[in-house]
This record gives sequence, structure tokens and C-alpha cells, in this order.
Amino acid sequence: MGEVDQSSVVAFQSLLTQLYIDGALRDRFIQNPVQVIEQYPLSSFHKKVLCEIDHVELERYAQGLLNKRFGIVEQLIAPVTKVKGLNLRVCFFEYARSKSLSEGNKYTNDALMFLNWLNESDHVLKLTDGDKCVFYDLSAQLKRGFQLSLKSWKFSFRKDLFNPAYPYDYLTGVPEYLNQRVLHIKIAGRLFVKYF
Amino acid sequence: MTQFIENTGLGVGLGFRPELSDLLIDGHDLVDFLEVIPEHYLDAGKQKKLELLTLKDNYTIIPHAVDLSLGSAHGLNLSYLEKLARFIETVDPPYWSEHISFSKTSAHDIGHLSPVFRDDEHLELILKHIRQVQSVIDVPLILENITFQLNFTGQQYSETQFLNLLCKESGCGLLLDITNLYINANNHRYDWRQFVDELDKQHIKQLHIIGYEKDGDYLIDSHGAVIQEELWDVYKYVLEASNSPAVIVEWDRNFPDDIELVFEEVTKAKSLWGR
Repeated sequence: MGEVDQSSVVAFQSLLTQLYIDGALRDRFIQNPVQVIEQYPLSSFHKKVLCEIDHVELERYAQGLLNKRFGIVEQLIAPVTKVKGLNLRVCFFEYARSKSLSEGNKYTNDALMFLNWLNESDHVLKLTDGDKCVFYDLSAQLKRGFQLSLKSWKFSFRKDLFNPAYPYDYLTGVPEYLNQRVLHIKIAGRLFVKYF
Repeated sequence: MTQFIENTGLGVGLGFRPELSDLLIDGHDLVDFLEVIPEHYLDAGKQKKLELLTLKDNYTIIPHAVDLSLGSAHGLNLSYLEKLARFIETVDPPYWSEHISFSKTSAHDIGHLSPVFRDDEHLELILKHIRQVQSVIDVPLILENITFQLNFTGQQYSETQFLNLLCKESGCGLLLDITNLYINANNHRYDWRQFVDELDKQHIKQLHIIGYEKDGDYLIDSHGAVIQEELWDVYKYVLEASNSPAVIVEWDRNFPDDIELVFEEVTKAKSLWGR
């Protein structure tokens, strides 16, 4: 076995990784692979391999990664997102186009970043008479035509304890993090504070 | 350093998950050993650490790491490696396992085990990382095959050639995931029997098995479904050709309402294993 062509292998994996997780780059790559590939210090062999990637397989893989990521985040934030009218998957896929996972508590951070993104986004929940806005076991009966802006949400977590890797206290069967979380919700100027 | 383990003699066990905790924590007659994910414990609070110690009192524990990214050209995360080494020291297992994959670069985490390109460069890269890991963790390592969606052109080795070479050169055993093998064979249209025939069976030290899900003709390793009959066929074929490898039934999500179903899968794996 010869020496590893380190710089080209690094570039090869860097570009592959970004194609998996960056929707905008993937779109550009599918439109014009050569233009994208030329921006990386790749050997001619690695350029050829990347040019020959099956675009359907690539897109399927990328969607699979997003679905997996969404599934984990959805579980983590379920207690604060049981809101009728909010298509969380669509929102998450929109968010994830520009936000990738990072090292460390990656899914916890992802969940928090997604909630913050929701909080700051222009998504508005359109609720009608009788709809219930349910935040875990906190319910608010809403008036006709009332629109709940997600900007009125405020999330506060103990990040260090909100870890998907150890969500359950096996002694009690209760998720550990539930006791460490505070949710603030403002509805029609009234502040609800829910301690989980 | 070359490390090699003979027949583990561990029998048939389960992947430990919190959902199974009540039934497993104090020991279970049916379950010979447990596999745990180190990442669930590395930065955990005292309750999880207590859980681990309780499990250790009742079972042989095999750590199954998922975050080392042995195939990453950007190098290993050394602080993670140190934590992993301490965890393995605490558990004191007969061996431990990781995947043949890369899942991160210095800038990004894919969040999933992704296939490495099968050529000499990547083979040498993984071998270098295994040597680095073995200098820190002096416990035998076995390597698991993963599923792959992207089938690159121009690869120097077939999957079986790559697995055989990697095990031979590193001295590591093989954790053959029956489900991953079958899914790849289906999705990339090759014969799973030929795949098994081409494997150097002396390397097979452990098996994984769990049901798959379907997306049209495409199979997905969802880790949360009843084991299909065709997977049992592969399982039997591998068992007949290998030297009683340890077996783990992996049920990670979509747990059935009747949790006994998980244990029925263990019973079946065990009855076929002990024939």
C-alpha cells in the first residue's frame, strides 16, 4: 500500500460531507458538478469519482439523513411542539438547509437551534375557534381568528442536562430532563410559565 | 499491535436501550450479554453511571461505539478517544466494536455512518487510525459493516475484499451485520450468498440482526422492525459457515406495545444459534 494522498482524500471527504448535508450546494452540484468540484483541491481521480456520483442516490441519501435528524429532534422537542397547525417537518427541512450538525451534544444543540430558528422565523400559527394550543400538559383555549406568533415563544433549557443520550432515569422511568426545563409562553400578552 | 480474539462464547444478547431497562436491568434469563452504546454514558449524570454499573454486575457488556469515525481523513477526535478509553476500562469487556465508516470532518458532522471509498488510500487511513486507537485501548476491537446508499464508481476493492483485507491487516475481528448485508445486497442488486461465501469467516466474531423497513423496492436499516424470514435465512447461512459468533439482536426504536416481542426475537436467534 502506498502513502495516503492526504490533501485529496481530505478534500474528497469534505466535499462529500457537504453534499450530504448542504441542500444549496447539492442543488448547485446537480446543476453543474464540474463547477463545484473545481473549487476543491482534488486529484483527477477523485474529481472523476465525484462527477460520476448518481444524483438520485445522492438526493435519496441526503433526504434519509434529514429524516433521521428530524426524527431525533422531533422526539426531543415533542413536549413543546404539540401545536395544531404547525408542520414541523416542513419547518425543520427549511431550517436544516442552512444549519448542519456540529460536534458535541449535536442533537441537543440541533433541537435548541431549531427552536430558536422557529422563534425568530416568520412562521405564524393560524388557529381557529376551538383550536387548542397544547404545550405538553398546558392548554390554552384560543379565540376566533387569533394568530399565535412563534416570536412569542421563549425557551429556556438546562442544555447540559437536556441530552438525548441519557433521556431516561431508569429508577423512576421519568425522563431526566423534564425536571430541568422551563417553558415560557406568552399568549395574548399573558405569560404562562411551565416547569417540566 | 495485532489483536485477535478467538470464539467469544458469549451467546445471544440484546442491544441495551432505555425502553428495555425495566426488563433488563436486574438480569434476564434469556439474555446472555448486552451491547451498550458508550456515547450514551460518556457525559452522563450519576443515574446513568449507576445504571451502567448495575448492568455490569448482571451481564457481560460489549461497548459498541458509533462516533469514532475511523475512516475520517481529518483524523480522530482525541478527547473523545480518551473518554472512550476510560469507558472501556470501566466496563472491562472481552472486546469492543466500531463501524467501518466516516461520519465527520473537522468542520461538519454528518450525523450518520457513511461509507468510505474502498481503495488503498482509505484502507491505509483506517489501519492508521486503528493502530492509533489500539495504542490507547488495549482491548480487542471488532469492525462492523454498514449500509451504503451511494455506490461509487472506480473503487479498487469489492466490499468483501475490503473487509477481509482490513481484518487481516489490522488483526481486528468482524462484526457482521446480517441486516446491513442483506439491505446492501437488495439495494445494489447482488447475491448475499456470494457475499458471505467471499468473506473470510475466521474473522467473524459477532453478528447483528434486526428487521428492516421498505420504501418501495428500497430497504432501509431503521433498527425498529420485526426480523423478516429472509434475514433469518441469511443468519442461518452465516452461522453454518462460521464459528459460533456472538449475536446481538438490535432493537433501537419503534418498540412494539408488547415488548415481549423483542424477547421473542432473542429466543428465535438463540434457538437457531444453538442448533
